[in-house]
Order: sequence, then C-alpha cells, then structure tokens
Amino acid sequence: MNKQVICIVCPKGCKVLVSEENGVYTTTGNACNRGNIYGIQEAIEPKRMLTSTVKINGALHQRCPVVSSGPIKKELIMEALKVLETISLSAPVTIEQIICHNICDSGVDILVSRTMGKTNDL
Amino acid sequence: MKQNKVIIIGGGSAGLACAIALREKGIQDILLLEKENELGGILNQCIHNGFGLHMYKKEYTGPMYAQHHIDRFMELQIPYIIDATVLDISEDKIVTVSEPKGIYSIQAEVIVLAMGARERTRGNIQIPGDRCVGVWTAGNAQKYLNMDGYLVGKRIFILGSGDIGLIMARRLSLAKAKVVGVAEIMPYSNGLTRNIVQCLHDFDIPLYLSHTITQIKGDGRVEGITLCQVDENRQPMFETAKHFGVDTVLLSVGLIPDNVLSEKAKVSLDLKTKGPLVDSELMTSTPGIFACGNVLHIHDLVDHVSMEGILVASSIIKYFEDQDSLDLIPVKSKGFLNYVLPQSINPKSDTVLLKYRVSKPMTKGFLRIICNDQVLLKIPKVDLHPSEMQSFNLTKVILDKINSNVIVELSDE
Repeated sequence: MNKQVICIVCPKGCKVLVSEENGVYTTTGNACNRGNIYGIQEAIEPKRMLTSTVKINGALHQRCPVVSSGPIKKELIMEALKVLETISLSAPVTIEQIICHNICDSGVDILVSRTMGKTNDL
Repeated sequence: MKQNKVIIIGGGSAGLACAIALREKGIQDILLLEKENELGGILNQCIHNGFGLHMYKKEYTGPMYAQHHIDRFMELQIPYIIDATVLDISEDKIVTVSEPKGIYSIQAEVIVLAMGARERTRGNIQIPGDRCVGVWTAGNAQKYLNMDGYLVGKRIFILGSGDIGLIMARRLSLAKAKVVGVAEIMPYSNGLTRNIVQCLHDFDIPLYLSHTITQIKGDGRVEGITLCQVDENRQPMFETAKHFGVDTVLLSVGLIPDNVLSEKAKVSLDLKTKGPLVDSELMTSTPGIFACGNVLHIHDLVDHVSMEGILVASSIIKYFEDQDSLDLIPVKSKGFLNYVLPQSINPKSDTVLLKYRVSKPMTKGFLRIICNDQVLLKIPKVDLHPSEMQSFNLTKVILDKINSNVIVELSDE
C-alpha cells in the first residue's frame, strides 16, 4: 500500500510517500523525522481536533464555542457534530467545562472553550 | 476635562496584552476603550484551534486565547469601558468617546492605537456583476455562524486563499454547506500548508490557483459566478470562463489596518503596510502615540500581536522616563521585500526586531543589513513565503555600527 501525504508539521509542506509492506511502514520525501511520524499516523489513522459551537441560552451570544479534549478519528467527526446538535446549554458556563464525555466512543471529551456569563449578570 | 495617563483604543489581543504589561510594570492610570460589547476582539469568533504555539506552547482556540488575556486583565483590575466608540483623537492627545454614559473628551498623556483591521470588501476589489444579496466577507460570515448560529448560504464559492478563507471553507463544510471551490488570483496559495490540507483536502474542495471571479450573477440573491484563469499579469483570460451555480460568495481578499482614527490624530501612514510609520519603539510620527497589532501591519499569528503590545508597554515606560527626542535613523527595504517594519530606528532602542514580508515565494534567499554601503550582516534564509511574516533581531553589537540610513535587502544570491 502506498499513500501520498502532505506533511503539516512545519511550513515547508513536504510531500511524504508512505509505503506499507507486511505491516511495516516506511516514508520517503520527508525532510525530517517529524514528517515520518506524521506521515505514518496520517496513513494508518488520520485524526483531527474538532472545534464547533453549541446552542446556549441566557448568554451574550446564541452559540458557545466548543473544542475536543484531543484529536478525534477523522471518520467520527460528522457523527460527533450530530451529537453536538442535540446539546443545549444554559449560561453560565466556565471554560474547559465538559459538556459531553467520550463522544461517539472516541475516548475524547467535548469542552466549552470560553466562559460565558448569564446576560443579566453582565 | 477627565484625564488619563494611558488610553488604549481597542480591547483585542494587542490592547489587552499592552494593558496587562503596563500594569505589571507599575502604571496605574490606564483606561482601555472597546467598541464591542465584550473584550477579546476578533479572537472571540475564531473558534478553531492553533493559537498560542509560540507564547504558550499550546494550541488554544481563539476564545481560549482571548480568555487567557481577559482573565489576567480582570485580575489586575484595569479600568475599561465596553460599547465605547472613539469618535476622535486629536494631535494633542484628546480622545473623544461615545459610550453608554454619554459623549465626552479625555486628555491622555499617551495613546495606544490597537484598533485592529477591517476586511477588504467587494468594493475594494471591484468584482463586476449584479448587486445581489449573498456576497459576504469571510470574517463577517464567521461571526454570524460562530456567535449567532446563522449560516450565510448553502452552496458557496470562496474568493481568496488566505487563512480566513480556508478556515471558513472547513467551518462551512462542517455546518453542512457545500463549498464548491476556492479561487486564488496568485499562482500560489496565501494560506498555511496545514490549512490547505485540513480545510480543503479533507473536504475535497478544489483550489483554483491563478483564477479569479469575473462576474457575479443574481436577481435579488446570488445565483452563480463566472471563474476565469488569469495570465501572468493577473488579467482574466475570458476564453477560460467556467460557470458555477452558487447562492453565496465569500471574500477572503485581505485585511486593511483600521486607521481612520490615526489619521484624525495626524499620524503619518505607510503606503505599503497601510499602518502608521513607527520607530523601533513603535511610536508613531505623533510623539506619545504608539501602535501595535493589526492596526500597525497585518499579522499571521496572534502571538506576534501580543508581543507587539508588550513591546509598546516597555516603550511607554521609557517614554515617561525620558521624552527627549533623538534623530531617528530611516530604514528602507530593497529587493524582494514587500515591506520592513519599523520604518526607522530610535537610537534609544537596545535591540530592534525587524519584521518583513517577502514579495514572492523563495526556497532560499539572503537578507542583508546595509549601512553606508557596507554590509553589516548577511543572513541566509530558506522557505520564504509572502503569507508568512519573517523577523530578525538586530542586537546592540549591530546597532552600534548603525549611524545613518539602513537598507534591508533580500536577494537570491
């Protein structure tokens, strides 16, 4: 199996070719070892941080920004967003408060990424 | 008249960082004025992560980064007013503000310009066609979606491949809008590689390099666009025209420092950066008025904005200690450089952080610091890109050799 990956570790943007033979992964085209680690991870199981918003009542804005506690499998992202659509928060919320544990069995939690007070407290 | 020692205009990352650093250095009498209904500035709508890698070694989201600043600002109990629009600044540093308690003037000893930037609009780039609803700047669409929960369209074309445009391509895709394509007039992308990969490739969004929108069509609402390839002079080649049916066009075509107020205070502006001309203390042509952040020049990374705010705080302390003005040494750029900041060196500066942008992508180049026809420094550089601000620190040893006009040159040999 061969997979072409553009490395995003630094601004250089190396085109890394990841090859697999009998379960052993090798990379070519990367200028450094960080490209090797990134390329193999990207070929085996790409992961992304998830940021979005959820509905909030009683705050200065209609939406509250959220972030995943770590990178989540790329294939689970759309499913995770569906879960977030069902969540409705009430102000106040505090930064890093967990609003969803282990979303889609990914092992990753969803946290609010800012404090939002109640509008009448402002 | 009400008086304040330091008035900071703008409560985004530059203004907050400057206020915090000033208070930490013992300046008590500070007033920060913010026109929005909360502190934090543009970071509040940038909900994606990747902020703070340099200063905090973390990948905060925009709101988290802002909160970091805001929490410290509140802890220090620095006075501020929100919903406060500054109407005027005079040369003798009288600030006129309109806020919920009324309209009044304040005499400042020092003013910090930290108003940030505005987006370039359809008017700025003059796209021909119908004047229909559905043409938005990317940042505006971002604010509507991330703060108000309002999605601007269902089938979207994005003009401009700067980072805001790319981030919005992903954000809109996650919000289940269809992003049909992103066009860039230059033959290279203006965004970071990671954003090309994670925002376009991840969602199979095509990037059309050397292309631009030549027509927007729509009766009432946008119905479609015409996309053309451009030649090496960036002129559209109409025989390459392609049509796309979309209901929305997003523009990510650059930011302009917001210097309406600076001009009222007779602060001289640089035609290249569109920000104030500053010396190495980041003081403008009007003594006692300083500038930092996007109002000074457009930044790629918020950490650099915060650091500029902190540098201004140090300069203000020096200014209060000693207001004698020394002759400034002009700094000029030459070769493949779009601009160099600061535009002059103040002999009081112990070190000078030169910031510059290249005018074309270069895999390698040489930066030269030249004074009196003598090359004081020659620094090899690799992987230079116009979308990435570069910097170089001039140490005391080099500054001691500088006594007249400095030329900063970038060449390929």
